[in-house]
Amino acid sequence: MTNLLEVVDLRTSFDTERGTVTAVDGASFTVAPGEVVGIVGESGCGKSVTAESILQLLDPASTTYSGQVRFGGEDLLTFGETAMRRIRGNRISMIFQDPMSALNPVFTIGDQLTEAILAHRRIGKQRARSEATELLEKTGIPEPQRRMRQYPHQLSGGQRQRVMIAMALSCDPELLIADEPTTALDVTTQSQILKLLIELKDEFDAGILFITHDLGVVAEICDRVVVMYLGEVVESANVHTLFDSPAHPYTRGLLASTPDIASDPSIDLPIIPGTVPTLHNVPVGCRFADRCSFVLPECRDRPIDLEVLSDGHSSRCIRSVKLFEDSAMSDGVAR
Amino acid sequence: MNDDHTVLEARNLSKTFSSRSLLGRTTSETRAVDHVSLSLTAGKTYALVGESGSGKSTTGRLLQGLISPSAGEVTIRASNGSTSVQSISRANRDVQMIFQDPYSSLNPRRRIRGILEESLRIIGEREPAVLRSKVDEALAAVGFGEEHAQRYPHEFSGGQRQRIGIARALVVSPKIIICDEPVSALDVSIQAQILNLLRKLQAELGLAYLFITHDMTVVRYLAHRVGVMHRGKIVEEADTADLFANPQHDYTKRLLASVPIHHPSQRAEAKGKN
Ligand SMILES: Nc1ncnc2c1ncn2[C@@H]1O[C@H](COP(=O)(O)OP(=O)(O)OP(=O)(O)O)[C@@H](O)[C@H]1O
Ligand SMILES: Nc1ncnc2c1ncn2[C@@H]1O[C@H](COP(=O)(O)OP(=O)(O)OP(=O)(O)O)[C@@H](O)[C@H]1O
Ligand code: SF4
Ligand SMILES: [Mg+2]
Ligand SMILES: [Mg+2]
Repeated sequence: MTNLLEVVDLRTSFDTERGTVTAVDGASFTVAPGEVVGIVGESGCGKSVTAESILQLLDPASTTYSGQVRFGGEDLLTFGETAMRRIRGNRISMIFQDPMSALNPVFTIGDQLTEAILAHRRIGKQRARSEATELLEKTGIPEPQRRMRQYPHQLSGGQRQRVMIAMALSCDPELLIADEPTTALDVTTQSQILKLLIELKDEFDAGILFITHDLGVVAEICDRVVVMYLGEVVESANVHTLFDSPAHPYTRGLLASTPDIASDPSIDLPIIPGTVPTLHNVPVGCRFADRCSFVLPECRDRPIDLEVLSDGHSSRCIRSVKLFEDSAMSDGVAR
Repeated sequence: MNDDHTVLEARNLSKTFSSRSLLGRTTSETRAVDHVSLSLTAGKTYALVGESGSGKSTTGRLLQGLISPSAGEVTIRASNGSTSVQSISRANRDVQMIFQDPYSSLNPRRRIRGILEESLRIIGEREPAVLRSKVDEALAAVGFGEEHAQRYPHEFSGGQRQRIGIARALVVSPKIIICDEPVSALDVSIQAQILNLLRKLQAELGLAYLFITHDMTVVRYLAHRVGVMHRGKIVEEADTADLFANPQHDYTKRLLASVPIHHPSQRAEAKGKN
């Protein structure tokens, strides 16, 4: 199947007062039509910057992109601002991590949603308004009619998040980028939203790039998963492979530290020891070495390549093959 | 105040928001908080749960003194034992808030060090050496160092901003912290670090927390008492273990029943297929 989106060796750097930092460093992945691809990784690993680079949303004065973002046969990184504007909120839409940044405080919810619908469809204003109300209702917001007349600040955190989701869905995008779209929602409302996204995908064969720190959500909705660490893709795999036989020690750490409602509340929660290094101190060798319990001296010598373990499964670790076989065995999964 | 360890008490708090048309006519009213009473105890965590829009953040803002109630009042017991009524005009340094939306609550034109120092200046701290060391300490508590102190808010990721919000609340050594979904944007690893930290600070300093969250795993880990909100009212209140063992209200039951899945094989559709 031809891919909808192909990100090839994407590199995004920022000029800061303290020198240049590279927040995304050579990321490659694809999204096919009708596919949900998850990006996971700890806070600060470069998930949002990857998403914002696809749409070139970062401050042009301080940001440099390289690599390719292939979409519909063209490389979006060669597009200027005018051409990108025709893509954003039209063929590719995005649900932002921070709802307030995406909503205009001086217009009502209804005006903003209606405007978004009218921007790409030739229908009357009345019809657009009623479709907007319908969309709000689908996200589970109570009294959608009244909400249409309200301003963003009059909504609760979870309601704002859902307005933004409605906004991103309003244009029936070919590709939806969802950056932590359900963080403010309880499990029930969250599953309602996830269903809505699945509907979009099934009805229009849209692709979804789903950024989340929540592995429960990944288990629920993703077909494939890309794991990022300090700006690099460290593992990518089919969702079942990732949960059953993770090959990278970082992925294993993430899976092990998922809290469970049944675990003993008096014991401190398990964590991956240490913290993500800052972008000013990127290690020469394996970027995860300081926190890895499988580390060998040679891990620190030179950058580690992403190694293909099997069709659609790759990992950036010199011990991947061994660890992968062990985990496949210990989980009793024959491959 | 009903007992020695009560540090904050809310009695019959209500908040009604009204929208007005251009002509000044009231067009709609939302009763966001409806006769809420609760008390916070030193060294204990009170979790406020409830569906989106039920009035949790509004309650938090009333307790912090960011908005004034339409009815009812909030009393706070200061470190010296005296009590005072919380009001917008003299927000109490003993009560700090970690906001649900970390970005819009950080001044975009100031560096992180400046933002944290500002909080200290508001409470009258002027000594440069003290400002510096307190800010360093608060940043270290959330895993940040000097390199982060020099940056502006937009240079941080979503989860990193949330940690700045936590450091800003901690820096003034409050007695009470209103935490509005403080860890929902954080990955499990940092979430665990922050929760462990909050628990440690509570044990050491006797902090009282009002913890707003939709995550029942977090409730079970951190809370001593839980209030369940529904349409502006607290419809159920119980000690954590009792609430989990014996939920009364429908919403509570639903919340506890809808446990997230942990593995793709648990998907509803996958179950059918495999
Ligand atoms: N404008 C900027 N200037 C400098 N550094 C930046 C800028 N924007 C982001 N960064 C840095 O780039 C890194 C990646 O940020 P990004 O927002 O992509 O993280 P993330 O994976 O989305 O994390 P989170 O889960 O916390 O949202 C972080 O270390 C962040 O501090
Ligand atoms: N400034 C305001 N003007 C009008 N209505 C408001 C205002 N602030 C909040 N509301 C309304 O009050 C109700 C409660 O909002 P609140 O933010 O307290 O909910 P919440 O329980 O924190 O929800 P969430 O979990 O989604 O954050 C909502 O219906 C909201 O629309
Ligand atoms: S390369 Fe070495 S340090 Fe890096 S993840 Fe693999 S075992 Fe750990
Ligand atoms: Mg992010
Ligand atoms: Mg809220």
